[in-house]
Amino acid sequence: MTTEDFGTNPAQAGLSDRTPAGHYRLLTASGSEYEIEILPSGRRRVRRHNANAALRRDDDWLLLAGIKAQIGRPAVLILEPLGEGAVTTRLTTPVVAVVVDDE
Amino acid sequence: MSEQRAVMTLVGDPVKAPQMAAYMKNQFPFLGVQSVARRAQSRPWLQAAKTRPVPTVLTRVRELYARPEREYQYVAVDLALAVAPRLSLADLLALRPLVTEKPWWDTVDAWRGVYGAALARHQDWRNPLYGMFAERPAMWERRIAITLQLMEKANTDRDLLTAAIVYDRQTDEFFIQKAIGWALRQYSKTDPQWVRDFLANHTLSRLATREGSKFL
Repeated sequence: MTTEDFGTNPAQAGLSDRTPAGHYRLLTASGSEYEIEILPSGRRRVRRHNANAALRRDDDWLLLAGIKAQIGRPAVLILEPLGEGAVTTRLTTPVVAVVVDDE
Repeated sequence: MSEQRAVMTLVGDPVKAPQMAAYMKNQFPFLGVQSVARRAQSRPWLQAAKTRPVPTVLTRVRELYARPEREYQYVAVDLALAVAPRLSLADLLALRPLVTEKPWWDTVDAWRGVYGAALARHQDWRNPLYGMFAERPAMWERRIAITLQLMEKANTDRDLLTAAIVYDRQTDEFFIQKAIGWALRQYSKTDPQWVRDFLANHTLSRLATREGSKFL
């Protein structure tokens, strides 16, 4: 995972490890929606809201070790390991929308 | 700004206002502007919106939506519809919270028109548009998942229609069951045999079954 900065407007630039703290939503080409929370401490977590599960469980918050999401490309979600296991990397279908979440 | 606000003021009929409010179970205050008058009064705003930058129009949509009188929510959705050809998926996702703001069938079905227009224009957006509303916690959002493809006729993705209906087929909620019946009834105009088979193979509520089989 690189720490490249995609810019300051998530709707245009996507999300990276340098995205400012906030609440974001990713929508993918398959229709899956991911809620991403980035805390001021840098702690990040993700949960997914609908079908076609690719993560461990829908609607559960999962801690993220890294994230890279750009419009038109699959998002890379690096999940913090459970216990002492290895990190898990998940690829989504291409990202079609990123918004700052106000829901 | 004050000039814009002054321009965006609807003039209603105080005699009709309580009747219109009563029709909506007195959940919202009305100015008393019926649809024909509303369209006439708002036509200049809608025309102007077509050439304004999308962010400017969406700011106005939110501002109108926050006003108490119901007719302003209708105009807000009309404004969104006026710029629908220029909306991105991010715009549409960002507008979604308005669907569940002061929700009732009137505004929710109007919002469905906005998302349906986006789908008509961008057939490759079908999955993300469906995903915005499928399996959401608010039943008003799921009503849009069920009815999203109402105007799609032969382009209807039957797997998505099936998924939306099956998810909510046991939901004890009038507006969900009505939506299921509506979606099936509409699609029966395109493929009556598919709807017959669907009804034969799925146990639906009496309301959904009755509404869905009306044209069969």
